[in-house]
Amino acid sequence: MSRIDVNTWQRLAPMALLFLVINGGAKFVRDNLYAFAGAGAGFAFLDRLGLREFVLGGLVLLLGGVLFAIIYHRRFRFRIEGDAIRVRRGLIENKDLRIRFARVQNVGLSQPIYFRPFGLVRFTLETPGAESTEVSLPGVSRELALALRDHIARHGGADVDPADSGEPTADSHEAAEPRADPALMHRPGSLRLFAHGLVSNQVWLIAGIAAWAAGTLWERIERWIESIGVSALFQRVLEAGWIGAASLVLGLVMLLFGLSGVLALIRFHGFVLRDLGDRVLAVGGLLDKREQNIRRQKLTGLTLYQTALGRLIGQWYLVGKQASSKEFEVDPTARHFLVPGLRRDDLDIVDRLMPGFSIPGTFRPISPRFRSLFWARISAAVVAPVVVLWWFAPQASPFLLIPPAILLAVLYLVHRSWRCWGWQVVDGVCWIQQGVFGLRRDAFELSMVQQAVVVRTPFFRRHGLATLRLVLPQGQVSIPFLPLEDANALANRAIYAAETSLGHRV
Amino acid sequence: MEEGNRFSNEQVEASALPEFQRVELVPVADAYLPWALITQTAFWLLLAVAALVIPKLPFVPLDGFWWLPLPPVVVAVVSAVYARLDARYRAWALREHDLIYRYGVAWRKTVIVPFARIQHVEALHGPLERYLGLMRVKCFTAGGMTADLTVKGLDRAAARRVRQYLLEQIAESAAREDESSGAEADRASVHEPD
Repeated sequence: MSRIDVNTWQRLAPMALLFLVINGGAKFVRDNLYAFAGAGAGFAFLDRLGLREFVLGGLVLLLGGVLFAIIYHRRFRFRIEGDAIRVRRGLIENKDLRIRFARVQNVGLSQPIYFRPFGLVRFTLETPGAESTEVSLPGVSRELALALRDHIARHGGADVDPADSGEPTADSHEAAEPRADPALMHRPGSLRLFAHGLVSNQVWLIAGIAAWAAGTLWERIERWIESIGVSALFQRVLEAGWIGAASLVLGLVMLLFGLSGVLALIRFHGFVLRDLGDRVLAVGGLLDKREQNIRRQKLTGLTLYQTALGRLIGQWYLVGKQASSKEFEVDPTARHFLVPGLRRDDLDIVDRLMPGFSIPGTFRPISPRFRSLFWARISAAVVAPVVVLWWFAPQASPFLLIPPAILLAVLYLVHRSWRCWGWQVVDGVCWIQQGVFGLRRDAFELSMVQQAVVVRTPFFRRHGLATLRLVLPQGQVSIPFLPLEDANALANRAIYAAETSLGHRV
Repeated sequence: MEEGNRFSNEQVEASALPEFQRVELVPVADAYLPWALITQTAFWLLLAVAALVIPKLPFVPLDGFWWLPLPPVVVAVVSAVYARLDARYRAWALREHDLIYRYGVAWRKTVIVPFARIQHVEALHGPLERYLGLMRVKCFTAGGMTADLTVKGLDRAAARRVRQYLLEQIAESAAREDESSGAEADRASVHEPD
């Protein structure tokens, strides 16, 4: 407490300017990515410009960015007011924000590589109502950030023992023996972190960006390939026919996965998850070392993911859920509390993270009518046109075998999806499982339910079924094709749990 | 997530739980049907009138398009049928601890919102609703916009009573929480006046 100047307006360190420029630039690119990607117009435009104009334009943008960052930096003030933090910021519009510490659900510390020599960190606060990080203090001293973190924990009703508060210095974590540290919950090795990159959906994101970039910049890439003199090599590979093309694709896929693995390794380097009583602390990252302090009380559920590739190597990852004002999850792992590199033996972490949550041995299936309905409708949509085509154009019959072959594969996917759907309630905790080849398991206390919705379509009414949708602070979950009695019973149970629970008002 | 609550694990017989499906729901006010008919068909009827009138104008070369008003009329008729079916099914009920609302025609939904999860309540009406003596009650809960529930088709007096009742229940439930959990300060509103 003595390290915090209460009721004094404070400014960011000069080095924060660098962060503001880099972060602002990254945000500009992110915000305008779709505009460029949508039409490819940006790059088509670039083709008409020379390098000099391009560099000049870039310099103007950079100077503008630096100027804005300087003004923002000069106007930025923050002040600690006992049980709250107050921030004044803004470029054109000045904002004065005050957040009570009791509202804070996450405290984050991150340290980009260029902050390290100066002992600076970026301190962030998140509240349940905000869509993004509510307060970000880039470029405050590490001591102040740690003192603030503990100060917030005290005002959030949590007793923090500073000696046990898990200082986020990499050395102290890595020096400790895992077995000798009772607070240690999870510390995956580098191999598992690399494997996380392979099995997480990040690889598809990279593939998407690579495909877009290759499509938009193909002419430039071709010129570049020629200029570095490997075009002959490519030509030779392609001349080898199917084998050459297949090895080229295989090579690209391996490169993609390798890149994804390396990115995961950089993002989670030295990941350690610690149990600090009322909080959990996650530390990791190579270039941007991040520390996430999550108040257990603010965790509203969790999701276990096992992608199809993860299933092959038996690797899971876990995402802690918190109240969110977002309607839909675009990227379930973005800025969330993510625990990577879990093996089957590590899944007891679920119970340690959220006591009372134990993974059920079996899941109750949904009605087989899920499968029969989709089988019937998809088959009808494919078979009817094929029969009509075959009737009118029998000469095309060899090609007409392709749709039924694809249909068989789709029907198998429907079957897989039905097999994966399941739900179970264990000790007041509801588990919902879904997937096709991979698995996703959502878990939450029934008492967290904000709203229960029983939905019945004409098909459901004919067959005594219903979909149960439960609205939670972190979003919605649904269980489709439940027998009506089960849907009603689960809704009644969830509502009863919510009404008799004395806590959990988010 | 509080320790005391997390480990309470007393067995409750499923048959002993209050069943929402046995509650007798109150149909929406009679004025809801005209409101729904007007709001759902007005646009299409106007479009039909425009399609009828415009080809007859001397400066519009649209001969032989006598059928132009038909599609909007068909949509208006379908919307009217939909509104009629919807008004027949739409109903609500208050229990001691929650609000039940049922609506939908093809996709029939029954929504149950516990008072303990409502953060605040709003009663509102537009000009047409005001004319017909109707009011909507909007309940806001945590969990994003899809978690908010708007109960349409209440008459004005009922809507005000419901709003008042909900506010009292929310206050009572918050007071109970405060008593039991040591008055944790973070459960007021999301907005923080300076």
